Amino acid sequence: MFYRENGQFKTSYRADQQIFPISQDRIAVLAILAFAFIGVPLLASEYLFNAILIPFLVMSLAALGLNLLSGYCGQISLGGAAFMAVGAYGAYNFIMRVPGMPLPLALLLGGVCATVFGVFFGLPSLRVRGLYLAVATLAAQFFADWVFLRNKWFTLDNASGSAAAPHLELLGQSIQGDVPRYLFCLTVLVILALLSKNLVRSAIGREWMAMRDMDVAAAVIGIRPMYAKLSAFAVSSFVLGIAGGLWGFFYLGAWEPAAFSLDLSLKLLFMVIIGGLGSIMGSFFGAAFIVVLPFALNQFLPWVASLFGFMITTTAASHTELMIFGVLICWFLIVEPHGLARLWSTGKQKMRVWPFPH
Amino acid sequence: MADDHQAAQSVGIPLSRIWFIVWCVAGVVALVAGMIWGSKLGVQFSLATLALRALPVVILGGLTSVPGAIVGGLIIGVGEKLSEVYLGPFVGGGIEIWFAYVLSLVFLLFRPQGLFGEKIIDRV
Repeated sequence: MFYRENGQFKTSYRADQQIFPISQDRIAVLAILAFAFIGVPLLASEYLFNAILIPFLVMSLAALGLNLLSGYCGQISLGGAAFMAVGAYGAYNFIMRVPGMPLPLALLLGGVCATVFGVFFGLPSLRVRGLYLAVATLAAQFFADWVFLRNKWFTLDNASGSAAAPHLELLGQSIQGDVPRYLFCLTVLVILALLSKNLVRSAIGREWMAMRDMDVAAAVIGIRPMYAKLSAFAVSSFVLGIAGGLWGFFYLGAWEPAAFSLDLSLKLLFMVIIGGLGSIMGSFFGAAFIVVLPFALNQFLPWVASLFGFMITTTAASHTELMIFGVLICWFLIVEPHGLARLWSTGKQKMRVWPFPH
Repeated sequence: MADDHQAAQSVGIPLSRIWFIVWCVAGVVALVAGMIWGSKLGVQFSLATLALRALPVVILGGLTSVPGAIVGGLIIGVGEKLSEVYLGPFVGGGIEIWFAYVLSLVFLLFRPQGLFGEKIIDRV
């Protein structure tokens, strides 16, 4: 009814190649962006910003980065948090050691550090794949954990071994408040998401997908495996590095190496798998699922329990929360193995032909 | 079975029964390993992360090979401790958490199928 593309004729190559070819999609995306940039800062409370919105934005960015590697290029990586850690510590070192270093430049340089690290640990992907590669990236994870814990140089020889974010400034203005921090993360996310969306439909993105679908066949038709795989590792770890910098500076404030442990890597992988491998939209869904759902369960469990007439203690609530969370993950994967993004596209398809079933 | 589900099913292998047996055997073997470990070193919640250590072992020894798993386990277990004692002091200690992974990583670069694994043949 509302979602019809009839009559939207494409009369130029430009119109044919737009990111969102259907005009309703364009309007919806613009509306969501306008709401995120203008509406949310007016409505949300301080708690909402710090507990949900900022982690959601940063985790979406990280899931996006991992999705480029695991979803588009098919290289399963268990080292997502390691790349984030390299980005965070890289940005931290640049901003603390170089006087007058602007924040965006430090984040970018942190991303570049993560790129170098990612390409190095991506080298085994040229020889091995699947489970073998997962173990290889696990090496990156444990190695990064160890380096940042043992090597005091990275934390400026700080006695406590933790890194504290500096005062956040952009063009001489302080952006320490909740709203400016939110807006900064949102801007970075929107820019990188648009760039990735464009990248995956370009020649490079198609090379990645060919690699994912069958690497031997791709090599036979003339795609160089080394360039395709290493470029996927480079781009993905760059995005993950920037997400790591944002996670440290804008969300945690002060962090220890344990903040970027294997736990976070697995969470990132969950996000990508639940959201949908090989879908930019899926990264957002996955991040929302992992970040918002535990919080929602936390809020609703005591309420549901009181509805049935028994009190639930805080520890029991947090344990039940974990259990329900695990069950929900399994249930989602059984019902929809292709992730939430597939549900989304099925829904869109249904809307196009509504009210007819086919 | 592991090579191609549908092909296995079409030649009359009962998928669900095979899955059942595979998971049962895997569970029992892991249970024995857990009991031995627990009786020696105690049981804690962190035992769950131990399973991750088993990954480099099977990779090094080669998937689809039982002797490989045993030899791989010996190499990884002894290598971890020796590296900690002899290499650890030079780089600040604590290297046993990542040594196994890096060892298997380097090994994979030269022999992708592991020590005793079947040779990987690429077909299109």
